[in-house]
Amino acid sequence: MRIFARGWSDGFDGPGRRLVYYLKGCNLRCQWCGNPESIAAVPEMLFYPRKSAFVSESCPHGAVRDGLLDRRACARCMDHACVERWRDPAFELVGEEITLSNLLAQVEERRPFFGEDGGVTFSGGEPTLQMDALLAAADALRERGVHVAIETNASSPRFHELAGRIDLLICDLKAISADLHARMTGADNRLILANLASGIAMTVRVPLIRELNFVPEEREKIRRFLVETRPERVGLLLLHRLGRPKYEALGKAWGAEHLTPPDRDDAEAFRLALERDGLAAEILN
Amino acid sequence: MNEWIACLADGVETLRGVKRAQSVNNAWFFVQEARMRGRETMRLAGLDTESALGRAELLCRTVERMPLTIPAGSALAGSQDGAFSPSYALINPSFKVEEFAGYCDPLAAYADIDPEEGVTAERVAAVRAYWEGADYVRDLRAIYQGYGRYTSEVAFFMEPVTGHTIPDLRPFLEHGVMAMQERARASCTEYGRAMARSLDAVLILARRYRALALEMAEAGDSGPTADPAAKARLEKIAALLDEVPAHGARDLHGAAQAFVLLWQAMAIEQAPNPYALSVGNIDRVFAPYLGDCDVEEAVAIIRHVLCFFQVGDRCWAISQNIMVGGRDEHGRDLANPMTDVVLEAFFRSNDPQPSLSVKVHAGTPEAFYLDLGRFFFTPGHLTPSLFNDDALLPLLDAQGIHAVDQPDYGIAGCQEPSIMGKSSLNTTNTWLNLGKVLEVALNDGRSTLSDTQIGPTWAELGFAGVDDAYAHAEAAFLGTLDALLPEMAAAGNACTTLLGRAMPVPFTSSVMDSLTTFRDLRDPERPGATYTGSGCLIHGLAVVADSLTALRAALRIWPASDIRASLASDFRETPRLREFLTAQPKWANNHEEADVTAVRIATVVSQRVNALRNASGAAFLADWSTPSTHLLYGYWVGATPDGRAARTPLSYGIDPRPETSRSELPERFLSFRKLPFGLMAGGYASHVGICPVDAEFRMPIDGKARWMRDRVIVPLFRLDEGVREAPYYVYFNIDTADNLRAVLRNPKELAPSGIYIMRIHGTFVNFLDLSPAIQEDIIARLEASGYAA
Repeated sequence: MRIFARGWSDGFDGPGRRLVYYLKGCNLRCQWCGNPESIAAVPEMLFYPRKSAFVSESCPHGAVRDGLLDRRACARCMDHACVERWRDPAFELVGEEITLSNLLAQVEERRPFFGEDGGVTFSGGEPTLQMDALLAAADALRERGVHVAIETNASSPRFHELAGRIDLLICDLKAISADLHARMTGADNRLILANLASGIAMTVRVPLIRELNFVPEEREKIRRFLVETRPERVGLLLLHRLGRPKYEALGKAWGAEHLTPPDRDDAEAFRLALERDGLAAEILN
Repeated sequence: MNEWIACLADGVETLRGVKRAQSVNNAWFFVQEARMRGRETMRLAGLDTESALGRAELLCRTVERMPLTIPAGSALAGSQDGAFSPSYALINPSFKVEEFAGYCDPLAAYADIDPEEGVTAERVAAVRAYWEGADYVRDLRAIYQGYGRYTSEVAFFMEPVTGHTIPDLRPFLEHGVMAMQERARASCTEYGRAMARSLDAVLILARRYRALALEMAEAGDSGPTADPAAKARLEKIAALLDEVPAHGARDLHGAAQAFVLLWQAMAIEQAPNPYALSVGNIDRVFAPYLGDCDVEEAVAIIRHVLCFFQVGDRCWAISQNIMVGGRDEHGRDLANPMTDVVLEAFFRSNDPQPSLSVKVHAGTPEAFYLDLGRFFFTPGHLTPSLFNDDALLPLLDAQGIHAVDQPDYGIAGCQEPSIMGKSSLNTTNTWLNLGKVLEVALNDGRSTLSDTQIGPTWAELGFAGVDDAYAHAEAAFLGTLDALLPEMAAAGNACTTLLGRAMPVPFTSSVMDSLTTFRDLRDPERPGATYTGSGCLIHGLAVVADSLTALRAALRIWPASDIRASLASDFRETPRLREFLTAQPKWANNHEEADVTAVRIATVVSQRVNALRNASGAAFLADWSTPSTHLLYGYWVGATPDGRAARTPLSYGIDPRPETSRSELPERFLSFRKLPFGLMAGGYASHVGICPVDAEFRMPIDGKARWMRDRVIVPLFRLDEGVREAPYYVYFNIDTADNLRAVLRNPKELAPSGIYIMRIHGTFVNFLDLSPAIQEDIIARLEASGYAA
């Protein structure tokens, strides 16, 4: 399994305190993605030149000039001296391979911190792109009594394999309208909607973006879809910009400059509408 | 609420107001002046003043002459004002880290006299000069001069300590003082006679307070006694003092009255500034007297007891620890109805002193946690520190503490476990500065700040030169430590011996277990306490561990001589090296290499400290505590290879430095779990900052309690894992840096009572009263160590 990060969350990525594995690689290209380093399946270098005064010296291969990182040269690097030798805080190499036995050992060490209701969450990226490793890990963890959750964009053709093998499915719903979804994510949403409507128990999360899926027409479509599919819970996420510095660190443009979250009052009105429809809905941030 | 309970409850609010308004705190000076006169009278009469019997007589003469007052609102007679000067650095706004004197001057308090009519400079100078002529002062100064090479830059330090004990007043409350005097006399020993005479002091206080209470009550219709409630309280005091403390207490109010008077005499005997006199398990002390007392009345009485511990507007009597809860040696929970009363009293009063600690264990009932919930997540409100009985009782067992005594452990001061009435562990505290030891170990034994030779040279340690010493930096560190530890032990023992011989404490000994041993608590060779030892507070675990880890990496790139020069110049010309050192793995982030080093250092240093012996042959106790001395001592430590700049704070207790805390709280706890807590016999300091988001502030009380239990307490203490060696202490500050800064900017709006409680190690403090350096340290450690809930 290849991950780009591991961390803790509390009451956000599933119930209780969660140890979250962020799997690397994603098949969608959401404009507002908060984890741009999750998208490519291969290891990548995040570069924060302001964190160090010695970035040029930390790369003995000359990949840094005038404070800029030559990413092609960086990609050819075999030793990553900037990280391995210098531990230069300006360089962060993401994309670690973790074996199942290592993962199980890490989880076992941390298990006392899960409490009664916590566990492990696989997030991403899109974790189902590493479906075999994901299911093997989930099976092994559940055998050991660990609660397992997954956060997925629900685009996998093997989505049904998750049923019964994951304790909590948390699935994204970005848009109902096909053209809008394609514009938002660069991908078709027919399989996603089918998976979301498959009857498998799940929590659905909807990122709320004023200019895209929070326009009245689309918002209403989302509401109707949720009413029809009746997920166990609905989580509403207001667009945030926490991932912006990471775009710079990857040498990529932040593609969501023009996007904004809806007013909290409007989001709350939407939540209440869902609640009136008999859905358990909450705003998560 | 009936009229009498309202009278008590109103009284405590009045009394708290009086205390908060008491900006002049010179009662301690009048006590020292009375002592001086009593001592001179005795000397002129040819009486011995220095033996235990002489000290007992002097105590009686002092309490006979010292001024007494019963402030408005009081429902108990008694005060500690005569024992404490307005001196303690933490809460002294003029405190500066760079002004550490390198000497525990017993006369320093005379510089802190508050301007007051009648207290002239000449009068102060006369008393100060008198005590300056005492043998103790002269001999103590000589000890410090003898070890100045080590103490001037705080490679180690020593502090003769009065206070710092936990009496067991239960026999006195039950049987009364006169019965205990009979027991003392029955020994037919000289020390028994001394104890019996010293106990007269509390009877004198009782007599004088009773007369004063009656006088005030009968003073007529003018003044404060025009208030019938005040008159009723004063008459109650007088009635109580007819019985207690001479005889056993019959109810809670009587027990409380006896308790505070005994405490006052004990504090006066050790004045000035017997810090960290602590109560121990107060719920068990008072439980026999709760009877059918109305809960509201009991809460009011306990609030009056808590108020007794406050001295002046800044609560100058610091580190007075009170505990509740816990389990016995069989695992049975010890909480009782009095526990609830005490918690309620603390919650309502929310004053900076005394400090509350709570014992928990695997069998702590959920209801107890729920009772604690209200203390958590309320900014500015006191939050108890926690102790893990499932780890502490085995630790005490390993120290040879009898099973039946183990549940009676209390905390003397911040986190030092002591058995109520049976432990004398801190007559002298030694303070070991591992940061300084490392600094000189890496500089051929010399200070990088002053070039003074403090430790052995590399040649003396068997190293060929800088390359050899740096290649074996840990060995150089330990070799230097081995050279300094005997000096530290000798210095500490010299202070212990001097204090024990010069200042026997027959009264305090009698409320310890000297009524069994008939020897003085502080007897340096044969202490009267059942359990003895010497505290050694160790500073700089993270600094040393992280330095050794970083140095290993740096030596793969830089020559040792370059690193040495860089450290000596405080990284001025070598920012690249400093950045490299700073970036290396750091302790308490659950990083294997860094943690292995820290655990090894903690183990080896603890073992070596525990192997030291005091004058009685008892062990020094490794205590990884740094009650804000990480600021003071850090000022005297040059740059270190963890990237820390010269003269900046050391790490706090077992915690990482705030700048190196890079992981979430569970990862830090995972690091902590690796430490050898079974060797940390004297205690340790550890702080968890919790920065709650709005959701947690709004959480119902039950939710807060369960959150703390499940997210912090149980996993940190390993309460559900059945292990015997585990973390056993933690304290919290639950707030945000932004909020604290806002409170400082706008105290009138955000802390309208003038009190905003935070915790420094084992003691509560009013955040608003702290010096700026301490305030900044709290803020820095809060966020860096913080768990963003």
